[in-house]
Amino acid sequence: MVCRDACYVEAIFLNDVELSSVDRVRISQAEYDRLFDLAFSDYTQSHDDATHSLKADFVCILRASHESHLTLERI
Amino acid sequence: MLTLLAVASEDGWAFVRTDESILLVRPPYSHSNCRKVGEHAVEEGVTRHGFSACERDFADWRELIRFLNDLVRKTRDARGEQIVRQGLGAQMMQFASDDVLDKFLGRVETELVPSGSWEPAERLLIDMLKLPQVRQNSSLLARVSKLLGWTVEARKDTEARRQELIEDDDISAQYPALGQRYDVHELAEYNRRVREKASVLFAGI
Repeated sequence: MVCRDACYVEAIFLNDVELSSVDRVRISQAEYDRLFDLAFSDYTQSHDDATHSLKADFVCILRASHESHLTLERI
Repeated sequence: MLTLLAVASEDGWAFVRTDESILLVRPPYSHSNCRKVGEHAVEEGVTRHGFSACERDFADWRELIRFLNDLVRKTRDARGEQIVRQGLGAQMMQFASDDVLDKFLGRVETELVPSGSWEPAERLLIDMLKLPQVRQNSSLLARVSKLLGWTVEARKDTEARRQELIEDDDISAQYPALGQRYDVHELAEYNRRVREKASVLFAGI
């Protein structure tokens, strides 16, 4: 999981920067809604490749959080 | 004229100078998704956030967005990532919380059903039925099932009405003289009743 200042995801590291050290994944409510709106519009309209990539990246983050039993915290 | 000032090639974010201002654009590319920024944001984007500076002119938004999409595709290809174009909505829904799914059902009800968008509504609802979080939530499950029932019935009803229109048109096209003398809808109704009764001698029944 890559996190930068400008990313929509903020990871809070308690100790070492390892997945096992991550306490939770935070995402702003507005960004969460914006990204899930794309899931809905995936059924109703065609998307360009940049948007497909954005959705795929979000799926990766959701899956990684889920598989690592991390809480996705909306703020 | 648009000038691309800096770009993040892996995700298609870009700083663009228009005649009036500098905009940060990001996918999905739309007017509402552009944010007006200052000069310092471009500099910060390049020095801190991995944007590459460039100076390239484009005649219009269509040309610029095509360029950005190509750039994302080429960057992902170079990293050995195939762009997935189908089924991402369903994959995202696997991780959706109940409130998101509830919102989707509201949108099916208020946007897709009234506009007659049966096909996307059905696909979405069928995918929802497969979700463990829906199957384990009796109220969501009931709502999805009810909406799916409505959607299927409404689609069938619309298809049947369209079929009637085709049949009505067929009669007047096939028998122009009949079409001029009688009402085509009455003829179509008569036709249907003949078909149902399997007899032309049902008059008065």
